[in-house]
Amino acid sequence: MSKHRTAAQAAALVLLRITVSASGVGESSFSFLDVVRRYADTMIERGRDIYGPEKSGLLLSALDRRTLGPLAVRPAAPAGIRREDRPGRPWAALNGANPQLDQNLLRVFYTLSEITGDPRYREVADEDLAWFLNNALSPATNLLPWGEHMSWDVILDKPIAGGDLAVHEFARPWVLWDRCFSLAPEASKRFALGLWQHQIADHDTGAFDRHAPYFEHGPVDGKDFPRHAGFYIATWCYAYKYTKDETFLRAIEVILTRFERKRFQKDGTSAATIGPLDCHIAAEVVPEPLASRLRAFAEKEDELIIAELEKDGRRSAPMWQAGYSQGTRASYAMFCIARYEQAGKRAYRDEAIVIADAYLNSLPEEDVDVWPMSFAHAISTLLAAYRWTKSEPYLGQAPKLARMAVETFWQDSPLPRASFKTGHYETITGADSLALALLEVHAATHGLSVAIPSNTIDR
Amino acid sequence: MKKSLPYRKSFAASSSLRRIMEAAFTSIFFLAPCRGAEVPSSPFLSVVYRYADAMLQHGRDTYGPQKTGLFLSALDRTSLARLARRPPPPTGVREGDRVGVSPGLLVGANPQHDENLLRILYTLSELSGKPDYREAADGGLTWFLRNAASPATHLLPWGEHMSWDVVLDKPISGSGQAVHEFARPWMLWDRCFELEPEGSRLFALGLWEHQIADYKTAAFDRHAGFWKHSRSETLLMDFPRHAGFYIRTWAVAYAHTRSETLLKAIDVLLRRFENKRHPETGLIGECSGRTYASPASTLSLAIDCNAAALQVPEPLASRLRAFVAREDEVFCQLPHDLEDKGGFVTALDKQTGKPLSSYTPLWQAAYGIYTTAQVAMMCVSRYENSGKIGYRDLVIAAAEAYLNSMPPEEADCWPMTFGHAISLELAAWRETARPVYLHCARELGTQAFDRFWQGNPLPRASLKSEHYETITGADTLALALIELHLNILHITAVRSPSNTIDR
Repeated sequence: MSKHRTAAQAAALVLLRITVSASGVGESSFSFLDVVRRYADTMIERGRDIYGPEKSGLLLSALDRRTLGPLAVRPAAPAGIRREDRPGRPWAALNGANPQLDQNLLRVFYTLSEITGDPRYREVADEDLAWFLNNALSPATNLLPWGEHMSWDVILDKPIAGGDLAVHEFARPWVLWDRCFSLAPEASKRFALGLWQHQIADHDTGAFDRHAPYFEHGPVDGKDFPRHAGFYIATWCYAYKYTKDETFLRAIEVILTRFERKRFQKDGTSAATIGPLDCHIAAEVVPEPLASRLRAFAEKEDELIIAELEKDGRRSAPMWQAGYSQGTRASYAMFCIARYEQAGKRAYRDEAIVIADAYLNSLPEEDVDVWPMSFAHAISTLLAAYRWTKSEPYLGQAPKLARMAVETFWQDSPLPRASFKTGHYETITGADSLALALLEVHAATHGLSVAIPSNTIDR
Repeated sequence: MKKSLPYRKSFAASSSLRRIMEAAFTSIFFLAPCRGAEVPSSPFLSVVYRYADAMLQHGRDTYGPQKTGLFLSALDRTSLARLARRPPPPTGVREGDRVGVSPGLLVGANPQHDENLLRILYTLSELSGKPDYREAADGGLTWFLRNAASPATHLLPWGEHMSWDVVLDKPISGSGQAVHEFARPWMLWDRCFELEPEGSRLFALGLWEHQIADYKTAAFDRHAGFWKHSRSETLLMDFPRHAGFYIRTWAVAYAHTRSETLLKAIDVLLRRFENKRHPETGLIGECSGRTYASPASTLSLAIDCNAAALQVPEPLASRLRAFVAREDEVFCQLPHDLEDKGGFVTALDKQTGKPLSSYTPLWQAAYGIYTTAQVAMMCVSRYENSGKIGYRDLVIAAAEAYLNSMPPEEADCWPMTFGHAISLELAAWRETARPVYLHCARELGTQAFDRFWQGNPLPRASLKSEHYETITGADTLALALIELHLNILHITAVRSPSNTIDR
């Protein structure tokens, strides 16, 4: 069978056998930090854009784990991943770099530099962000080719879309705006303005669609999913923080007004919309009276969400099987953790602990095509429960799940695979979030003073 | 790193010039690359829909006094109705295992033979949004669980030897002896407990009370009396794979009922097999009294123990996992020879671990014979539930063995074998992203479609048969074609059930 193993796998196997052996050999040398660092090192050495005419240095969002190079084909999709969301042109190989899909990997890089004292991780992340912001903006809309549907093709050196239409849509909140404004202030500002000018269709009502054309102006009044409103507000608040351009305050105000109104249902009841997280962040940055309105909005969102939590707490969500628009129970715990750490509301803490309890004795169901992200969220949920309660079972279970994740996703490669049933590397399923969770385990079990970023952005 | 792109200079120019330049740039540089590759075509799903539609329309029990809605497990492909004569069996099929009392007509409905067809029907409802398929599967299962169980043993007339005679409306046995024996693991227990909890519970208990002969040692025979409690004369045929089928049944039943009896059943039966494992070779005899081991049977047991561990509490769960871990070690280290002989080792001396006989064949399935792809699909199951690279390497090596292989002209191949080979190639494709495996799966799918369906809505039972009879795995082939279709078109919103139950 040896002929099926590549040189990269063979080399990696040596290290893994030392570190991941379940037989006890090398047990004491096992280190989650080593696993993450090797992942990062491999991405730096083998996973950056050195292809096509321009060597952008961007991190590829998919790789062949056997060759540690770009994929020559479009590999089988992990369960629950839609064709048009992957980092490649329709039906073609996955040669895209999508910084939103790699956001937690970038955060891992910054954290690794803090933990290890080696600056190169930070430098690579900085170069990634700076190049992308300075070179990938649409000339017409100033939107970026990232998020749910777009990426940067590292071979063709062009923005590409996974589907037939090149549309800008956030995949996650972007939490690296501080760094982006530091690295590329003008481009960051242009993106934030582009988001207002070309994502929002009506500047009076705030009507928008989460899809906006990337190559030309053409926003429409369509599916204005509230979570996207939160992502925009969080973007604009940082833009205001660094530019003091009042356009951003107006943008926030218009969108906020829209959802203050949309909160009221036709039957007279109220429902949560944007959620409190992004509004809370923005309230810390913008001046009064907008700050107070944002705080009040977040408070009301809490009230509505907690009432729903007390009814069912989304306890019917699957434990392990994630998919497009389908989070696991632990992914919901990530929201609860984020809000508890932000506002200290006990109901969120309690719910996260209930979910942590559910993962104390849970392993993936049979034949589920589990994503790394699902393990990441389960691990981070358990660690949060431990931080709050100091109850040992949580700290016992988190490394067990982390160990299982290393054994099943990394195997004999320095890169994790995209899911239980696929063999390639593709960050859309949350390899980056899992790496972040492993750093959390390392920090918790080694009493590290370095702060590990909250693993709460997969929302 | 990169130089600024040329268009950036235009921002200093007049706005009109800038717009022109940007438009030109956009159309030339930015728009063109969004085009992707050609959309691949897949003819395979329509084959499966046609099969399912034909079964819903023509293949259900509308005969005899009771119109049960059960799916007939054999049909005439010309008339799309029950067979008017008993056709010769496909190669490797024993008369006593067919769905009709030998030498009579094949008028039986055997849900275990049709298990993958039922799973297909659930999948088609998800894919199409049409409830008809799901309702047909639900209807058949509900009727069977509610009406077909033995009043004395609560065992069901299905599996290796028994079925429900749709004309006479009674349980029958192909061999004339009414014995309960599983043919496959039953993966639909969750659905069964939703549809008919009491019938499902009674079966699980009946399996303990009437299949197991000794409640202390868990001695059993894979044959048990259906009509009345009867102890086998020999109690030698306690095959590991059957133990797995029982353990899976009891574990799911426990999850639904919390009956401690079921935990005890698992505990006792697991201990039996823990004790049977040779301390040095790690091998378990094929059954009591035999000095050789059949690793495929033990691997099957491991798959079911792994599933059961997810349903039961500690410390039983950990014991089940430990059993599985040991089996993984043992199986992956056996002297399989996929590269030269194209097969897995089929039997070894339990004491010495030396291989005794031949290796699994690529194409010719038969009663008691595993093909290479069949065993490889067990490895797929273990790999995809554990990530253990030993299994990965075996899966890829087995997939390699089929890359340039088609059955010999004279072989009377079963649809099941094509189904396994297709699913195996797809597993290798998912793992390696090497297109050669996907191409192979596609070629096998095309061959299977041409050679088994031949333009008919129903596939034939083998390459030398003309009738439809699911004992040879028409359902497994159809499931593989769904999986192939989903892989070709990268569809993931609906998941194809794992094609790993023929073991």
